[in-house]
Amino acid sequence: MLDKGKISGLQMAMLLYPAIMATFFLTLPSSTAYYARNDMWMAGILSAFFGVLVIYIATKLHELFPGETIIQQSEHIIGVLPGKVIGILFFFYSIHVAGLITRMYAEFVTGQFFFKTPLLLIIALMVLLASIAVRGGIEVMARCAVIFTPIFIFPLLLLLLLFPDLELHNIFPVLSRGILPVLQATALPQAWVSELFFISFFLPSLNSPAKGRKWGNITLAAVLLSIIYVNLITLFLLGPDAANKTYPILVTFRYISVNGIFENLESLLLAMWIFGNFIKICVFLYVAVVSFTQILRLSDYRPVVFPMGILAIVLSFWGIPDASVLGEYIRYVGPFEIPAVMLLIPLMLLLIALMRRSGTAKK
Amino acid sequence: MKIGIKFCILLSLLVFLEGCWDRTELNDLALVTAMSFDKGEHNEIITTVQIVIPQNQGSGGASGGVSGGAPHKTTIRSGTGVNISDSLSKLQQKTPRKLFWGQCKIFIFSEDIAKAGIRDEFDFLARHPQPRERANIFVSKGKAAQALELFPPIENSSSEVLQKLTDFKIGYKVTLQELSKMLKGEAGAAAIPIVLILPKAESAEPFQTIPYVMGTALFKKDKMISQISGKTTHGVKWILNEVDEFTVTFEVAGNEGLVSLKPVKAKVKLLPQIVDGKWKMKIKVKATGSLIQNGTEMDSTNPGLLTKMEKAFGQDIKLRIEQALIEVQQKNKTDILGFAEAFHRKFPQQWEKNKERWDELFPGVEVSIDVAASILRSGLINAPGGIPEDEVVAK
Repeated sequence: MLDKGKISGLQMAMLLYPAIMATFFLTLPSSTAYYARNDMWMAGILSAFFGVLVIYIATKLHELFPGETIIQQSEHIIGVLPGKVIGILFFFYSIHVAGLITRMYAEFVTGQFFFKTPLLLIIALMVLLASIAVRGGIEVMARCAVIFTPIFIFPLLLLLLLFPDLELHNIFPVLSRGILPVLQATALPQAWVSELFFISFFLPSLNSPAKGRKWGNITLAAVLLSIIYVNLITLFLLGPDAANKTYPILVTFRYISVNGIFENLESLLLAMWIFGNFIKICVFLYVAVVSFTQILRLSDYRPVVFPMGILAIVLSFWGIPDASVLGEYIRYVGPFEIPAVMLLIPLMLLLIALMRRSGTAKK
Repeated sequence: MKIGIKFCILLSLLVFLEGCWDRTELNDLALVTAMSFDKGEHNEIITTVQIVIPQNQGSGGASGGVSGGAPHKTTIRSGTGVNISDSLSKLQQKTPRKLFWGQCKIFIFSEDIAKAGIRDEFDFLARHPQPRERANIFVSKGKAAQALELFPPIENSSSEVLQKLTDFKIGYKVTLQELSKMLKGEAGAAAIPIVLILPKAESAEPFQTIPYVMGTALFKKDKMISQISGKTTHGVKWILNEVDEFTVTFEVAGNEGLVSLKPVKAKVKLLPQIVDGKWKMKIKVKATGSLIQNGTEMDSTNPGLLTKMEKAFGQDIKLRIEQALIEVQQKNKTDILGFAEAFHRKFPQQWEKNKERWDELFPGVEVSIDVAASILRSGLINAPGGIPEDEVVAK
């Protein structure tokens, strides 16, 4: 590893939790409700399968090639040149998604709160901050995550204050239209959960790599519980209306009112949103930077960080003219693109690696 | 050198961190407390906002030395346009301060807009980031702007009056989000409370009165089709399981005088059934109340007589619900009672097949009412007050 820093398993979990939940959970309920309606809460449960699978692949690969990320592993498994192609794919994917999530973050912030602030300013400031953190190394990022992730999680608990307004019977009738709509609705959460494959980039930095799988699964459990929780609250509050909201979670936060005194909590949502996305953008930028340096076998990753940041800013504008294209991407492209990169390619690499290993063992 | 650069960076933070470049101070804002929508002569929308006059807030009577009473705490302003957005931009042209909606928790539609359909206006309220989902929605008899023009004698503004009245939960209450749900829901019906203006006290200044909530407007899809009275609204609230702190007054058969209970609490369950293709609804009510007035000669401490009263209480609840059913189900054929959702939940298959015909099915749903009513406490006195001991009926 280029970065000599070491992080603990808990720190890795705290980096990965917002790396999946931030951006995603805002739109999650409406996109799952779009297909599954009142069965939307089941969508999260089914995506557990994919999460367990990607964590298994990442940790198994790390067992076979300890101390290496997927970039180096693929060179070892299928040879230098094809391995580099896969490495470049990972690099392009991570920098592209870094741009995408920066844009999602900025769209929400400008669209709902800072109406007049230019999009570029919000994007550039966030990427600058993330670049500084990434340049500081993985330990700096991990420490940021330890402070920020609890701030990101805590406001979600405030949704329980909605209890008097929740209509629990909205959950019925269960599975009245069969299992198919639920499977369709699972498309999105499974894609996001597949991003857990990024533990491949953190396993080499763990102080006890053997615990990588355990902490990966803990992250997965936390993510799934949050998905189900958020979906249930939205379902209970909004019922048939959930699919029609751009940001159902924003509505739920705005709806909180305790005795007419404790209300207007959406600013809290904005705060947690910024913290969560900071970590998320850090993680994606870090992955992009590490992939890049490892493909080119550079001796230091620090000089690349700021140029990568600029690339992320550019990519947050390229090909995304407006919010509806962004929504289209999330709904139709993401569910296929993300698992293709995060699940299918690593799965194939693992199978090839296992076959070659058993081949050499027989000889 | 390095310290110099760091110092310069820190200095520049001073400029940026204050956020003064785009500050909006309170005296650049017009705080909107309520908003109403009326129809203009040529089908335009007239949007009226009620704005707080900050100088007069909290000054009370002390500075109101001018003859003519306390200074007005709110004012109204209107803008006319082809739709809400257009009228708001016209309105801003007439308002030197920037309209601020953070405190706007009342939206009133005039009756003629409601009858023409509120789809267009509703889209604005749901789409624009500023209107709050918890804002209360009303329909006014006559011009909606009139309700905002009033100066309540006690409260600061008429919007505050409406807000506090709805908090009592006596009438029907609908928030923007609940309306959104109803308009999206299976039944294709909605209900919005009606705002009326209380005739002013004779000694009061002109416009010194309050708006109040009485009755409910019934909507089919997004169009208002009719209205029901305050009494029927109470019956509807029974069916919707929204009974809270009601006062119930009824006669006990064979006795003169009336009995009143408060607070009456109830748990109501809708139990849908489909028997041989016939759609039936069982309304199961479990109500409790405490005696606050006993105008009969019966001694409420006597268990036998109390049972008699409880029976009359249950009968009265049944009557209220039946009257509401006649109005809503038979006359107006609008399912604001949650029947559609109840059937959908219990019989999803049959519902999918029949939901297109719900409008025909709903009036034919056979309703049976099952009431279990009990009187829990009899207040501070035992025998009926105000009459001699020997006139009390003890058995």
